[in-house]
Amino acid sequence: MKVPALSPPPRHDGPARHVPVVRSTIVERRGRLDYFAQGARAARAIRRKCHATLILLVVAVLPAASWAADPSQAEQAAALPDLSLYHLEGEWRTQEGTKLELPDLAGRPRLLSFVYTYCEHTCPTIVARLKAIADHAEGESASNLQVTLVSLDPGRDTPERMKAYMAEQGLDARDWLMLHGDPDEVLGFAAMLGVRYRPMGDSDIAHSNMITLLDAEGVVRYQSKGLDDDPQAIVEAIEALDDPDGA
Amino acid sequence: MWGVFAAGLAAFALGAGAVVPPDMAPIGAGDYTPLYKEEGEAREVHVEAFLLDRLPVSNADFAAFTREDPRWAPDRVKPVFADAGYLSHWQGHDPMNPEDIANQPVTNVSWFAARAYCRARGKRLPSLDEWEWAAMASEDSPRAGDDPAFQARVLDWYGTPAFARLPDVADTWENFWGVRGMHGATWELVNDFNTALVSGESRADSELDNSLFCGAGAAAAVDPSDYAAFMRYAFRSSYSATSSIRSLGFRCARDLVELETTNP
Amino acid sequence: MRIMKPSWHFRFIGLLAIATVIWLVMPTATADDELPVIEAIVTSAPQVPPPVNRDHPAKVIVSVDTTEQVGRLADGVEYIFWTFGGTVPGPFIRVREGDLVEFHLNNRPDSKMPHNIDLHAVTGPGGGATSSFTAPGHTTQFSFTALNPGLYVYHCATAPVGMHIANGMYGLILVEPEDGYPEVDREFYVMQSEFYTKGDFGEEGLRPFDMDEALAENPDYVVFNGSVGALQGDNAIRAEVGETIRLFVGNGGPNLVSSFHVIGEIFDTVYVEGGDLLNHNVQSTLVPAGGSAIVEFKVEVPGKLHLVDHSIFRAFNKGALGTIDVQGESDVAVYSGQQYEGIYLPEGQAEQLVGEAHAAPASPKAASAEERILFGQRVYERNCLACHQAEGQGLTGAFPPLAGSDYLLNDPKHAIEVLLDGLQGEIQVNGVTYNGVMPAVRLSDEEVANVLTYVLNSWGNDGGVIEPSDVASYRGTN
Repeated sequence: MKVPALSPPPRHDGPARHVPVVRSTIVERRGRLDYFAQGARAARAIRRKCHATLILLVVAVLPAASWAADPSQAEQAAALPDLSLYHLEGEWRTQEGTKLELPDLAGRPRLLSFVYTYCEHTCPTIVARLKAIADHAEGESASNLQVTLVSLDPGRDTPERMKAYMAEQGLDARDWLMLHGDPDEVLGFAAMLGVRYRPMGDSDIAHSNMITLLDAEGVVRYQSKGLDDDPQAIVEAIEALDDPDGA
Repeated sequence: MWGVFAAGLAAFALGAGAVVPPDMAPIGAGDYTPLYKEEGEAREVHVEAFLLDRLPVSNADFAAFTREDPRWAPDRVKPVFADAGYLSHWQGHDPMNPEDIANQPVTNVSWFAARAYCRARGKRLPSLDEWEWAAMASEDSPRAGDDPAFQARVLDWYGTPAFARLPDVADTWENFWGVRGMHGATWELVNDFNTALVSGESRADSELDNSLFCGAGAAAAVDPSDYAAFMRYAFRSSYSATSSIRSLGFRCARDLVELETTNP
Repeated sequence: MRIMKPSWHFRFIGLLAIATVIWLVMPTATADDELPVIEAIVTSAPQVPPPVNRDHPAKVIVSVDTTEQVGRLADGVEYIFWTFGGTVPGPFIRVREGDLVEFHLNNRPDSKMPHNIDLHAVTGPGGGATSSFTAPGHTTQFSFTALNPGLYVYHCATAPVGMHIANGMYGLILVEPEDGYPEVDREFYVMQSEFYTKGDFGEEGLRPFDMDEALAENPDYVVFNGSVGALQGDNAIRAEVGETIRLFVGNGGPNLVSSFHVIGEIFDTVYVEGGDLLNHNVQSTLVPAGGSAIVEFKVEVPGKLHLVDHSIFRAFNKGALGTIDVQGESDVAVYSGQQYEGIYLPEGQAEQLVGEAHAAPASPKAASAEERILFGQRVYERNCLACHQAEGQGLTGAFPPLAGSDYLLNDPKHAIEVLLDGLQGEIQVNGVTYNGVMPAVRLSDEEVANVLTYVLNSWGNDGGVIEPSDVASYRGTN
């Protein structure tokens, strides 16, 4: 094991990040979301207090360690944890046409899905679900959340088209972001998340209905593989970002 | 045979001034029948002419790359790009020593690492269709899919456990296009490995799972008894972009067009 | 927000400390977490793990490797088996109804193929196949609650599914009912399956899989527990007289349904198809491909009991044979052993054959008296020897002699009549009275002539020749 796995890894990632079976009660990862779901409020409250204390500590200690105003990409990337997806190189453009690289996305927790604007199948359902999740989640992470849609159809989804799409869908640019990249960059990003897709016919692209939650540093915290999965689980995963041992 | 004709065309396309690097073979254009066809899709897929490495990438080749770009060295690679098995077979071996494993195909590389290697060489990974098309050739035919002897030889390798020592890259048979080791050395990575819309449950994959996937339609195996193709398909759908597998290697490809423009 | 980044390690250490404190003060845990955790005991066929013997559910950890390895299919015949746990069939897994099973599937690095597992005991997509699809050198984990008790098959379900099963990837998982099964003296694990190889049954060497045979459902081997002889000779199951035996029988297929039978036993109880339905006093029970049965019987007497698929050519020509070697005192009241050995002479056979003589098969034509005697000897050995004995001496009181028989030699042509029509009632031969039945013999004219000529020229008889024309003329006049 190269790096301690601090989060439940994406399922498809296989054994490299396979967490050794730990047979104690609390550390059992599978049970943790269940635990929250069942609302052991007392313990939760204790942890929240501890978290607050910790943040105070961090804030108190940190000023000396804060970095230069305009760090280079390499420096930014170097500061990311090893499990951050933002290590992936490549240039992207937003719906505003602004160029960015993935390390620029660090700083906000992020819900990520791969769609394309001409999609007539389940993409609208996914977008609706993302809206609902963002609306329902509460807490600091939820309020800071940015939902990100990566286009699987870079040929047709120009920044202009993406911007129009966001307007059509009523997606607020403060909390929503669309990304356009070269086909090969899109493939790499999708592959990293385990998203499968392929062109079907002349204009359709069949693709995974996957929703991924990244923390502020780009580490996968939760993945919902399909529309059969309970969206409440994603809501809870977002809220769990606020809990210290959920980080 | 039209395949020969296609090869001739490829050579013609290369003719005027373009130089094929000696380590790559031109693969003629052609049509091949993929294992799965989606509803409404043509039975055959057209593959444009392209260039393919004559040999799989060896341990020595890859070791040289990791020295040029230490981000891909076994002790440096980030877990988002390769899992814990990455290059693990180098432990206790010298990947540069021809007496040791230098000339064996490199395996235990992730898709990300293979992609980075090809990019560093000005190449790319072959697409799934390109790989399958080039791999359909026997020694004397570009299209030996229906040849029982060819099928038997391919299956021979699939049926052999991977514990046998890998052959040196040059010690495998050369096919019609002048490419070695497509069958009988290792599985090989392709660029768009993630195009198989599988749920992990092969018996349900004739229909697109509409919970897991956005899209319409059903896929049907064109020839369900082509179990060599089934095995490749199943294998490709089993790994992720970070997986390292002892029997999985790769080689690189290049566009012909790109060659024409870069070799005046 | 970026303010957090440089503090990663610091924060991590802090979290560890806090997590530890919380762990200490944690008041409750989820239902899952309250389950005691048990490592499953698994066994290779024919052994079965001990009964779970629990009155509460547990979390049971099962960890199984998938392998691809060369092994023995029959003497001199090797095959590349794909396995669960390095054996065919795979390990026997035993849990209790309500248990939470945490399943780890580990695909060995030297595997060429991805594998997964579909446990028929799982309620969920693919029986676990979806969640356990594992590339070589990787491992996956999933959990399921064993909702339904019974005996279930598990198998690999990776494409091409048939091939993964045909190569040996199956086994059994038993989900005991909450109250368990009744106590028995011995339990064994028997799994039938078939193998499709290039080459015929017994053809030596490393034999590859044959897809054409698999499609035709025409295996070279049908075996119990993964190879010919896996339950025979030194590998036979052993038991003592008076013990009750329970067999957990599975059928991995991939194609054939088993007519499972134990020669010389009657199943006192069958858990039909491995479920709750009990049937009693069963001779053969069907075990579907991908299905199971539990059979119980008390062994009352010593001896060897043979397990077969009663589609019987599979047993004697393809390997579906096993042995239970029962030791102990015999009980003649249950089974006497042989009490008499004698001659059986069915009645009424002469009548059955009336009118069928014309259908007699062709036979070689003798060109000389010597040939007639030679051919006649073969006819005698096939048709007459059993009663009249090798030297024509007969059995005094039962079958009259032919050697030196006054009855025969005084009127040899009368023998034609006897052969063609049979003989019933009292006769005198050399002064001894016989009152039996000789059936009509279904022979051609040529054969009748040959056998009688043989008899007339053997064992000191004084010679003579019967011609086929003599036989024909008798038939003509009667």
